[in-house]
Amino acid sequence: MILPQAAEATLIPWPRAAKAMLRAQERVISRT
Amino acid sequence: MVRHGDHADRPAWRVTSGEPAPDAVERLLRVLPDWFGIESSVLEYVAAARTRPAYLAWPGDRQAARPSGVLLACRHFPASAELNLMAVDPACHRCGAGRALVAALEADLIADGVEFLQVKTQGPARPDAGYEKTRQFYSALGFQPLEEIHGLWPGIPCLITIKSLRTGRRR
Repeated sequence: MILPQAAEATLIPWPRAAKAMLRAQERVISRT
Repeated sequence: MVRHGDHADRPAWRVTSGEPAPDAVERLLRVLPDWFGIESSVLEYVAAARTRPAYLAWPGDRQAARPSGVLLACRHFPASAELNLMAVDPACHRCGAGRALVAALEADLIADGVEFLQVKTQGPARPDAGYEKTRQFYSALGFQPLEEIHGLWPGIPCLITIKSLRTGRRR
C-alpha cells in the first residue's frame, strides 16, 4: 500500500549524494 | 587529509572518495564470484558506478596501483542513506579495508546530517557461507537487522539492516 504522504515524498528531488560524498577527499584510517 | 590515529604495527588504509570508479568496481566484483555471480547484477553495479562517487581503499603502507576495496552509496532522503555496494579483494579480507571504507562514508554522512544508514544484503532464509560473513561484518559495525523481505530480488531473500549514525557507532 502506498500512502499519499509517501507518494508525495518520492516526488521531492532530494540529492542522491551527500555533499561530502561529492568532494574529492583522501584520508588515512587505522586498521584497528 | 584526516588522520584517525595511525599505529606503527598496524598499517593504515588510505581511503579516497568523490570520483566515480567503474573500472575498479568491475574488477573487484569479478574477483568475488561467490558474492557477485549474477552477470546482469554486475553490469548494473558497473553502470551505477559510472555516475556515483566511489570510496576506494588503498593499502596505506605501500604504493598500490589499484585499490583493494570499493564502496558505493546513495542518499535517499536528507536523513537517510544506503550503502549500495561494497567489494573488497578477497586477498585483503579481514584486514580492515571494509571497516575503513564504512568509516569514511559514515563520516561524510554525519557531516551532512544523515541519521540512518541502511544496507541490504542476502537474508539468512537462504543459507550461504559468504553472506553469513557479510552479515557478521555489518553486525560488528553496529548494523541491526530490520526486516527480511521477499520479492525484491527474484528468489533471494533480502535482509534490510540499519544503523543509527547518532547512537549506533560501534567500531
